[in-house]
Amino acid sequence: MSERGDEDVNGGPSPRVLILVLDSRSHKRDTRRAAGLAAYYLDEEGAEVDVVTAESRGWGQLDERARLHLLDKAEARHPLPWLERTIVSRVPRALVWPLKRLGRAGAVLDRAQTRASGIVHRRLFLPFYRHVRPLLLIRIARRHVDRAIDMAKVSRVIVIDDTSVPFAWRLARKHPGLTVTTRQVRTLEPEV
Amino acid sequence: MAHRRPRLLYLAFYFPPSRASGVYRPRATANLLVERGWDVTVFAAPMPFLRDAIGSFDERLLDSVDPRVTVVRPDLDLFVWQHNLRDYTRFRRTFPHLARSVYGWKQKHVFPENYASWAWASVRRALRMHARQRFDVVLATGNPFASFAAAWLFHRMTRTPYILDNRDAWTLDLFSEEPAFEKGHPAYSWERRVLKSASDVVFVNEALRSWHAERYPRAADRMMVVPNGWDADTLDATVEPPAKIHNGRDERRPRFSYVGTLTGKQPIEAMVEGFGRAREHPDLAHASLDLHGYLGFFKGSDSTLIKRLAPPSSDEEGDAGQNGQNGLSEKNEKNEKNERAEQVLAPGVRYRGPMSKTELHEVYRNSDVLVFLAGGARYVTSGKIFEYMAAGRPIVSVHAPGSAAEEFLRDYPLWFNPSGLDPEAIARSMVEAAKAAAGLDRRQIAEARDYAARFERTVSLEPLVRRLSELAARRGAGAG
Repeated sequence: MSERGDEDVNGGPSPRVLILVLDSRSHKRDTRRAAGLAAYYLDEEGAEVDVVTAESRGWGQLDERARLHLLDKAEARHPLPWLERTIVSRVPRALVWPLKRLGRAGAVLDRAQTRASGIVHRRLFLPFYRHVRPLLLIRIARRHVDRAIDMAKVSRVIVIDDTSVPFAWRLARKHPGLTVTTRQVRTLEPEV
Repeated sequence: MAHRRPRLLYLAFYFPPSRASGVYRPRATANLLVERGWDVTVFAAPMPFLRDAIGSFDERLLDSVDPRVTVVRPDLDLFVWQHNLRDYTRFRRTFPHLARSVYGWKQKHVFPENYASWAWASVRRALRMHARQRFDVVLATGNPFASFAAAWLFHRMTRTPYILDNRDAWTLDLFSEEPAFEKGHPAYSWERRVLKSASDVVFVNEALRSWHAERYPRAADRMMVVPNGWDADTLDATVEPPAKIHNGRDERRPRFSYVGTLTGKQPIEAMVEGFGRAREHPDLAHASLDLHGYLGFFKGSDSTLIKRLAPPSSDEEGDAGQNGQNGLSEKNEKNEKNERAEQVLAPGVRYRGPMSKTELHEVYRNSDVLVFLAGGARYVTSGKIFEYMAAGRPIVSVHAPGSAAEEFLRDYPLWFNPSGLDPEAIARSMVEAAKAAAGLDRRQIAEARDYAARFERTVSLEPLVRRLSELAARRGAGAG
């Protein structure tokens, strides 16, 4: 990540584009799309680009001039996923751990616990968390964006995935003149 | 017993001011029926859909609808067309994944089309209107095919007979000529269901009728062909030969025209290359090819099409300067790059932009040769061909061999068919057509017009009107 001056060659302030792709893991193409849009705005429009995501992997193709804002660590610290990991994985593992000394029976028990924890996580928690996560990320993203991005300079917010919708909608409400769209067209023209 | 006016519920999603290609048939049908004494209520697409979602409308088209036609616009859930987050419902902006899952479930288990909510709203609205004054017959036109489902459901609830008008095909991809959906898709069961109860099923050409008759033999005896036609209000009552191409000392270049919406499905490159080669012929050295109409049916499709209208190795030579004088420069393009791309059209090719109905008369009058550019093959007729024939000008075909339009063009005396998309053959046909245009006399035009007269809209719609009248008469209503 590298910083650019915030003025274009004509002396005016560079336009700024914010790309929201909070859950890029669910669709790999979302990462490619975000990288493609970022490259366009950087090269063709001379804009500054900020990409906000909660997934740290898969961003190798993002132009290094774009600012990548990662929320994954902040999300991991949130009480809900932390509590789930504690109840579903850590506590059962701690209970089973002393029994591992029992040899074969202990190993079977350990595997059974790992499997059961995995099932509960995938089949119960994740389907629930999928719907709650966008709401949970609102606060995390808002704190980060308020600190790191001057929204007064942003001319367009592009929403790539559904997980970003609740946060993006709050941005739209807070900044009435701002274009907040899921349309991935390559323009800086305001949307009417 | 005195007959009361027959009352028609016409489910035509695409109706003016929509500028989709499918609006002309419903517009003409509704106008003709009110002219014949029917009470016509059209259920059409809501304006927010036309204006904001797809940006495909032309207010001027509304003037061509008879004021006696009642137009109702039931609501449509714009879920898939909403891009501005401020338009999202509270539920969607709070639980976006859940909202998408619910929408997907309805598509899979209720009706497999994004227009399903319009069909539901139509049925609800129709029932309320029917309770006040009953409809005698329902005519539903597709696409979208949610209108067929609405007609079927309304029939189930009220026993009102319905006719399905297939301007398009539901389960057949007209361009690839393959089934449009994978096996087991709910569209097949819905199609079977709506055809089973329909009083009649109408198609625009014989190839489409045969395909459906083969798939649904039990409904075959209720299937008929009602071809498209040309509308008398879009053309001059009398057609003169084109002004002489060699007029005394003033030598005028031959003018080729394409009239209609350009779409990505059309063989644009073959036309451009063929025209380029035709211009190598001494008689066509300075010929022009004017493209009149919209670029694509939806907003945002114009830049891709403009690129396809450029020669393969486009540089800014040739007629670039001339192109700069045409309608392109009048378009207020939003970015410089697109403007530059638009001016690099092939030599002699000019994009003239959309025109009003009054200007259409002028376009045909000032054209020497008409270029019939059509995508698809045996199942695609293209309604424009009838208007071309009525214009009384030589027509050069630029489409895949075996197009359904050939069925109608075969006996047109001024048809020049290159039998395919080979640019060399297209160029030869263009040269021959220009020669024919130069020597065109009143007798030849009269022959061409006589042939085209059988496709005048009121003539071609006659079997449909007759059938609607029969159904209405069974319920005690009669027109005329």
